[in-house]
Amino acid sequence: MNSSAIEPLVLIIGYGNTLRSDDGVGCVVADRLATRYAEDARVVVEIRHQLLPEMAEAVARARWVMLIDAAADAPAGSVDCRRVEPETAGVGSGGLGHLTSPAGLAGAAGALYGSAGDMWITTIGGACWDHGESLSAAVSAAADRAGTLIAAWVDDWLRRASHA
Amino acid sequence: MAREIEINPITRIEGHAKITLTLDDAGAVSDAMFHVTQFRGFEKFCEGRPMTEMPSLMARTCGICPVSHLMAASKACDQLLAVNIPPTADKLRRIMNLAQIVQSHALSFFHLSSPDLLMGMDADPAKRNIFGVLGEFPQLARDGIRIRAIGQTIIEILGGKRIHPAWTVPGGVNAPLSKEKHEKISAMVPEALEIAKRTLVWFKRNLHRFNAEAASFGNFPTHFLGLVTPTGGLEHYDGLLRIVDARGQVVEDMIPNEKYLDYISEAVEPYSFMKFPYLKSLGYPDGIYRVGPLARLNIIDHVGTPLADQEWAEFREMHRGPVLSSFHYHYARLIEILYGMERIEELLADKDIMSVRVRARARPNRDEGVGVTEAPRGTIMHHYKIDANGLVTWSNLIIATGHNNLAMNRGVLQVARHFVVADKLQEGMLNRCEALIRCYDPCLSCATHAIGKMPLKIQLTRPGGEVVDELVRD
Repeated sequence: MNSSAIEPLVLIIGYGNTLRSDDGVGCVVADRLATRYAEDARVVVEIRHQLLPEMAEAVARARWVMLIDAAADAPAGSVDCRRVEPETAGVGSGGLGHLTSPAGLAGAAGALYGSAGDMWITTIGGACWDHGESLSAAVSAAADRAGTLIAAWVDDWLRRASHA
Repeated sequence: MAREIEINPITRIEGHAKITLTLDDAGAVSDAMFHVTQFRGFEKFCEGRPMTEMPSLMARTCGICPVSHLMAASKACDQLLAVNIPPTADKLRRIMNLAQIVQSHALSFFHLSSPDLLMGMDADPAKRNIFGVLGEFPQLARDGIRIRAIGQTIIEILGGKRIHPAWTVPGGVNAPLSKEKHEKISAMVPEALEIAKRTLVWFKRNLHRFNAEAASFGNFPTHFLGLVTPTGGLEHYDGLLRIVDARGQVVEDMIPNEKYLDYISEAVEPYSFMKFPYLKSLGYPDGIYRVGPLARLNIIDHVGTPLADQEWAEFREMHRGPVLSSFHYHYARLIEILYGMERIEELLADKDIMSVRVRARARPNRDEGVGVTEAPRGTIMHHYKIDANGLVTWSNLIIATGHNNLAMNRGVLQVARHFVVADKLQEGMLNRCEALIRCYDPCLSCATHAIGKMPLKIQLTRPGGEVVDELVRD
């Protein structure tokens, strides 16, 4: 994880369980991006088991946020990127508890700290959720594509920021 | 004709459970049961594993309180090695354990229970949630997130990660505290203390709004169990067991950890996968007792840190003898957050806290080991037996939430009788049944897995299964 006194422009959070095969693909992609942007203080990469409420402050500080997660309800090896709309109300415990959802995290960042950044999520359809520390072939290939795609987005964001 | 109301699943707790309320012919609540509906069987699957694996294996039984299992397992393994761990390792383990208590209490109070406290038990469910709190009480919500983050960060600094840190090992810890880490932790303490103090001020100012809940939320006489220091002070990591009765009399004191089975036994019921521990001296089910923050503040003679001692004295003035209402688990949690941060500050100031002597190394030297510690939710007991090769042959785990099982069941019955009017299934009264359970902050993850967004479905049925009324919360 990069750290710097400079406010990050881009926050990347890859999350999942690296002990359950494809569920860890978000962490794998984030780890590669951490290497790519290791020398760039404008980009902070975090690798986590799950999204947590206390991430809200970091989300609010960033201008762009990219979440990376595995998806159980998408075709294996598919890569999807979409904007996260902040959750502003909900019933029950799903918003902020021991873990939170992307929309809940964005909602909390906005409600508590005044900004949810511009939050996006990249999901990668998984094939294997068994115990194991390696990715299935389809998801491994998808991880390469997702990493390339996200890096292009991040580079574009950084370019836009430098021209602003 | 007898009928049943089912609350399934219960929300804003950790794990999966439901409540069944049985109504008599007149429509009054005649019985209540708190069911834990998932089975995991941790005690069995650790048989055959090397004892050295137990701390990391047991930490994985729960993603919510892994540090507590780590501590209990490590202490049981210290006994198997027959070592006294270095004093610095003892203090470092204490810091991590307190950080766990701080972050867990913060989550319980601010995230899970504050919607009930701030928005009111009868508030519109669309607003009685954490987003309602964020909108109307943003400072309190920020405080909650911040103090939890501080606790989590301390765990991460010491253990290398927030969940399942592998830093605590049989014989001590696997790395000393560096100057850099010491400074990082120390820098967070003043902010955490301020948050703890102002939250207590706010809570006490608003306590009168919950007189009805305090009077009926598990407000009954039971015994209380927990660890104390040799002088009767508040203890979370080590110490000796004490049992206090409902009048405040110490009935058993200074019980060595390994003697716990002389005092506690476990019953099972067909309607729940969670065991029902009880005090042997009183039998089942009369041997009901409570553990956790309320119990800890009820069994001690003093806390041991200046600010928390003052708060504890005020807390105990609420009631002659022990504070009996489970509603006051919330209050007790806030005092323990304050204590936790004060104690961490004291431990960081210890002259030996950065000593590099942090681990005693030995082969197994005993066949049996017991580790008892205080998790956020109460006393946690790990008991292992090993063979000549150091492989586990038997284990027994009594988890904090299990100790409170009888009390939670009795509490649900009390709340239901007080608030549930059978012919009118209203959100507020049913939420009170759930809120009673949330007072105990049950962590069923030690017996199930983590929380999702749970819908709530309540059915009022006749014995033949005919649904006569229904409420659904999507």
